[in-house]
Amino acid sequence: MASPAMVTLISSDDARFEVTEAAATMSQTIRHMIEDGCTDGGIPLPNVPARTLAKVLEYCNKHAAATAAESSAAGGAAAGSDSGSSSSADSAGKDDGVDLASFDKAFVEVDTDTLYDLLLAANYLDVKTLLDLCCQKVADMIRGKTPEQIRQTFGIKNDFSPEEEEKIRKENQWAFE
Amino acid sequence: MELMPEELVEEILLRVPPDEPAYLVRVALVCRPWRRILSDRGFLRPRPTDRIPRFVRTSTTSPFSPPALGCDLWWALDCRHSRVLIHTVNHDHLVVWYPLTGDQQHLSIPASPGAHMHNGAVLCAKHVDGGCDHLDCGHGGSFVVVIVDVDTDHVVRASAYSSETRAWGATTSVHVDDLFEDRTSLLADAALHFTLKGGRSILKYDLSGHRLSVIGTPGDFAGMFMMEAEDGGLGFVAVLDGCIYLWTQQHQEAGTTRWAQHRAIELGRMLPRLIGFAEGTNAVFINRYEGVFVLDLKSRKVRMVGERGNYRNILPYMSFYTPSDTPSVPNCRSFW
Repeated sequence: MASPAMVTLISSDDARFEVTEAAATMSQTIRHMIEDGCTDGGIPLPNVPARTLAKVLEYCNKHAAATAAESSAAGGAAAGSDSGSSSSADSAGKDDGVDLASFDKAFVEVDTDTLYDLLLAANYLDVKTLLDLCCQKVADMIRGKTPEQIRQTFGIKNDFSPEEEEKIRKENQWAFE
Repeated sequence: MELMPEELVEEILLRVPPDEPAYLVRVALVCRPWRRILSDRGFLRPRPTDRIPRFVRTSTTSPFSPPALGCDLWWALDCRHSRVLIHTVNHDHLVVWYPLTGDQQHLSIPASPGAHMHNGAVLCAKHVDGGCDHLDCGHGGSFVVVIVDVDTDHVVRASAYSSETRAWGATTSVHVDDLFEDRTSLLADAALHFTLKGGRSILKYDLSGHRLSVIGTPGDFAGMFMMEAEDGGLGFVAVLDGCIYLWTQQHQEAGTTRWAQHRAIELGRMLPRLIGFAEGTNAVFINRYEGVFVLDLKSRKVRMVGERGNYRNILPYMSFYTPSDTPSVPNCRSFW
């Protein structure tokens, strides 16, 4: 089997990461750069520090490998891989699915600063599934919390005046019971 | 997070469940930018405008288009026996729509002080007596609408409208621990069933006895969808660890019931999410990264029926019709 095409990514603090093109192109931003031929000497990512880029690439490597494994499996007959025609839902590997789901779950079990950095990076790099995952994680952290708990969790300053806050609370008393 | 671009805050807030308005009110009080995002984009309306139903045809012969309701904010609560029950948010009334002719019947919602959330169902009036095959009853046939709402004390009230008497009947009530899930009802065992949040229990409205009761499920099954069991009884499906499981309620000799877990279908990688079921069939709808799929639990066949989207709920509309001048087998089946 031929060795996979590799690309070099350069973080904002000049760290270099060698990754497969399959993993790198999970980022639409990088995919476009590669398509435009901007890869000589590595692809600079001035908005992503090494610490965050390493984490994003951990995600991309895992998902790209799982995609490759799925497409090389018998006939690529995973549920939904071909639109319009029928295929069996059983043929997709259960282990992969469980593995990837638990990987995703564990991947966002991080402190809020890291989660914030991941969100910004996923947005800039345009890695849709990672952005979905991070946004959902934050939304899950928001549910069931009071405004003050949300502010504390995410380090947000309360910029309402006490009168304003009281007024909004009174208007929506049912939501705070 | 204060420096987070607004587009990202919006992406996050979109994923806070819109069917639990208290969360969004609390979020609006976090800081001014968040409040502005929520109020500017219409998040705090009962149903956000970006969740106006989309209409997707799955049959090339599907002959109808979305209803002309004269308002821009509406929500389909239920569809059954060729009719669709719509809640028009602007005007706060109900519409029973028959898509094949475009006929609409408008009903007022019965006053229910303190109610802050409701759900509803529509069905053929002759269903309980078994006197209808539902092939053509949507066209001028009599119907029943059942509306359920819940107040802040967690008391659910239900009332039924009859198109024959053109009046709402008496109210019946029951206490629930959990609020409604934003889901369509299931008609099984001569009763309508509504999912309650967390998937711990199901609200049952007995159509002949006009009684409400709560049925516990065997655990926490958030995200589950009810579906009819093979014997016509109550069942539900839920995704656990990438597999779809089916549970059915079984009646025992002593008059008690138990839940039985039946079959598991492995769905492979990627997190699948159930977003609907088609009553009277074995079909469930799954939202995945690649698109929306319909999965037949019996044959285990999957078919793509729509593009990927942030769908939360699908209402499959199924009806029979005969293409013009061609006396052929009914052949229309449309989902939306």
